[in-house]
Amino acid sequence: MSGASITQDQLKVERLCVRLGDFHLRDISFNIEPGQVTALLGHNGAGKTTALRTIMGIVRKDSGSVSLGGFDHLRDEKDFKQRIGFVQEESFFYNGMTVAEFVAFVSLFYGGWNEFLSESLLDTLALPRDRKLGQLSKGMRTKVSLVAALSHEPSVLLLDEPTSGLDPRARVETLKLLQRAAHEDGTAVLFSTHNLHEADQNADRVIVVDRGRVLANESLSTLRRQIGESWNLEQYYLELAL
Amino acid sequence: MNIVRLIAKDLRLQAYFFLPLVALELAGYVGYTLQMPSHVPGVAFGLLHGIALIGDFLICYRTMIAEEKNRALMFIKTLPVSTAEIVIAKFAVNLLLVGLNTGVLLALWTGGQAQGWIDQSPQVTTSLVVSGLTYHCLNNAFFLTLSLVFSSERAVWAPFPALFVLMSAILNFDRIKAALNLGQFVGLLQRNNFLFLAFLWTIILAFAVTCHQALQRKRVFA
Repeated sequence: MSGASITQDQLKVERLCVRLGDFHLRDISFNIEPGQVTALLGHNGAGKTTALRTIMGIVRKDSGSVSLGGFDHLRDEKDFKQRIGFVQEESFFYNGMTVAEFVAFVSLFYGGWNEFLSESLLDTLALPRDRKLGQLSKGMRTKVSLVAALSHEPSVLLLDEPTSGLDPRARVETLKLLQRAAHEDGTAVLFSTHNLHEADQNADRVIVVDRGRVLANESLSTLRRQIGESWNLEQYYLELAL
Repeated sequence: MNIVRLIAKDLRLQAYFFLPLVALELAGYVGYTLQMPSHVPGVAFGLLHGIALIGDFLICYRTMIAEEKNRALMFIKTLPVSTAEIVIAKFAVNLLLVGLNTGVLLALWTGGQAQGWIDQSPQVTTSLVVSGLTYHCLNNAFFLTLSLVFSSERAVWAPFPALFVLMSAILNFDRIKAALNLGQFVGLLQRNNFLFLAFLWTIILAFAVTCHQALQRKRVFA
């Protein structure tokens, strides 16, 4: 990936504010860099899902801006979403469709859909093409969701707790896919998680949110270098968020 | 193109529902006509439309409930599709299914008359078909607007107060007309059926615009 396209495909979130009942997302700002896996950490109700949904335009923001390669997430909604893949925590699917039908349906909306990649992901993840989505386990649904999110080769991949509720094997496969997308294909990956060990092992960068605010946005390698042998993400996180 | 893709998806998902719906409506119609003295002209035809009105509701329910249940509308929103395309596609597929449903029922009515099974008036004319279709589309658009703006779970309660409001409006129509100074406008619509139908289609369009505006302003798109 060239330097120019790296700058172009950076996801920029600036001073994002959202009010949802009693919950406030306050002045959230961060950039998601191409070729990096970023973990979004926070307690339950910290604002991780709201932040991701606001980026995707599902939750309406009060102020702030979100852009990707110069495309605003609301004004240039379609261009923005052509460049982004999103996996939600719960699988929002059509239970009556088979895996193949669902993937074919999603493919219609993306100009850059890579049929070969889609087929290869279905094979790699051992997804049964003829099985109805309603008959799949949560892990398999997440995998289908990943196929749909990755097959148009997005610049940015957003995932809301992608490994929550998955068995160990599915979790490893999912995390491997994220690593490959970032480090081999240059995709900017942002995933939210509660699992600090998972974040420590797989992320290049962590963003810690609590009560709707960003408490930290740091590169893990920098933190490891600064703190040295006593580095422990759990301790770092708890010191920030408690 | 996105609109066509969304319509095709809904038609495919509803294909197995449509035929049982028509069969159910016909069974309901036959069941009621056998029990009712139908010598009064128009009663049987009115009954057929009454049953089709329930069909309008069921079509809306089916096309919305599956999306809401699996929160698939939220999933669609994550695709490169605009809110306007989502609303237009939903209205279009509903109008298509309602049109098809009304068409099948009217065709069966006409066929029944031709075979001598139904000796009731009226004869189905183009004007009657267009009028019937408009009323059914309006009825369906009302339900669709409720389920898009709120949710099917909440919207299911709306027809009861809505029916009450509608009946009150009909009973007090002359008073409303006088209070709002609508005498000339109503007179014009009464004299010209085409204008009246155009007015009803404007209301359907207004429903669609309302849905779009409401979805744009919703805190959470779902």
